Amino acid sequence: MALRSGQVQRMDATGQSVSTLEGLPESYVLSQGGYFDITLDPKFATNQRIYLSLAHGTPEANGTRIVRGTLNGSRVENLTPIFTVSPLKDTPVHYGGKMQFLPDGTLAMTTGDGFEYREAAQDTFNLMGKVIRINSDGSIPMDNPFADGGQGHPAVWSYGHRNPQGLVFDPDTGELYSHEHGAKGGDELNRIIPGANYGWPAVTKGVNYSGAYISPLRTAPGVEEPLIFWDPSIGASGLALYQGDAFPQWQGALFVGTLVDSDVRKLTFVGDSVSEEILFAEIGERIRDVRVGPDGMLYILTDSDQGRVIRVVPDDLSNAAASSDQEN
Amino acid sequence: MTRTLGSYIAAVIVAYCFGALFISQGNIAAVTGLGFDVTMSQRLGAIVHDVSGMTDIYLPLVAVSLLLGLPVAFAVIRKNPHLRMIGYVSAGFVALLAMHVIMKAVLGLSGIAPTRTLWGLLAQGVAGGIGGYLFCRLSGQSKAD
Repeated sequence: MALRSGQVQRMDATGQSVSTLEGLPESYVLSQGGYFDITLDPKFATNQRIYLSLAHGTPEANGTRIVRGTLNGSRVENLTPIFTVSPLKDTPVHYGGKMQFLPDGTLAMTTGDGFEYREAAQDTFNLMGKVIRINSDGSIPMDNPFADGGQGHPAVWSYGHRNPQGLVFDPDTGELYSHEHGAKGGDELNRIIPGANYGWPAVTKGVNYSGAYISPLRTAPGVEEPLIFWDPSIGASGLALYQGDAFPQWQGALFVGTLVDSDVRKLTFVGDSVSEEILFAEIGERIRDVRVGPDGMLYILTDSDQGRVIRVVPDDLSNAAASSDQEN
Repeated sequence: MTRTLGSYIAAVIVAYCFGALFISQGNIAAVTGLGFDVTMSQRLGAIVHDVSGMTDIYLPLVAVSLLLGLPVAFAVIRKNPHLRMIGYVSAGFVALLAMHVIMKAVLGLSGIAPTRTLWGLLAQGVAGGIGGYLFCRLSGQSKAD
């Protein structure tokens, strides 16, 4: 669990033991800063490599950074920064920071627009408001859409994003999905296409918090339309693709946590449209992240000073556990 | 007193309308600056949308700003009546400008996007100045009467 307080914790499979990882670099902790995401190397079983995204820098100059290290017990060693979003900014918000390994071993990450620099999302030479794609050592793949640097930064994979807070790859379809926070009424889920423009801030379904238009354009030629958008905003946070065995009825569904509505959205693709079902509203807490564990269970992370990891299990397992508890 | 109150309300409404208009056009300027086309009807539609849609947050901020700014001008003008017009116009200008500067200082972010630029910020001052001008003209009539 990556914490905004600047710590990263590890919970064992039983959920009974939590330890804090040591040896990590200090992150920039203010407002939305801190640590954002953790992902394991596809060959973690043999190389124990982990990748962490965090806010790096100072109040005057900070940005999203990826560091790579080797996990040795509860200590992270051989830490190396492999990517830092440029230019750095002076706001402590809108970092993005969600990571996803792709099947070819490259690593994709979302970056935010820094709030004050929203026009940067349309600048393909600027790394803010993008999905970027790098190799696991931080070098840039030669098949990125702007790899030659002539029309954009070589690391850019897609652009026109505001503050993406979810990124997941579907190995069955080969699709990469991301969702992002809009302003007021503009949260959206997108299918990420290399080199595509997702519009922000020139094309958006949301409005400024003041009530004014960010832009009067809700669609435009050459701008990708979201698969679904939420108005009012749900505060989308965390994105998981279900491919486990524990819930056969959930196969292929996407799960999105919500910070505003304090529930989880199950999204199912029906042809070209997306159907949505609200789940786990009974939790009643801001949902920071949703993940599918290797055991096929759904893990929900709540957002508060006393945040919880909630493990969702099928009814039959739950009943069995309850029976076992009663017997004990 | 009634005339002063009416003048203040009119000043707030007019400053709000001009401020919202400047915000609306500032946002559209940013969009066109990115290479996107905005038609005249979209521009006009945005003005209607923004002027009618910013009453929740922006209107109260304008009202409070002028409520604080205009009495300061009044205190100065009482001793220097020849400064009446420039006093109220300046008070309105400074009041709205200060409102955005203070918001940025408190929030660390620009609550109104166009105020990120000097021109956008000055435009807000102009909206406040227009409000101050109107207050001067309307409240001044009471003396003439």
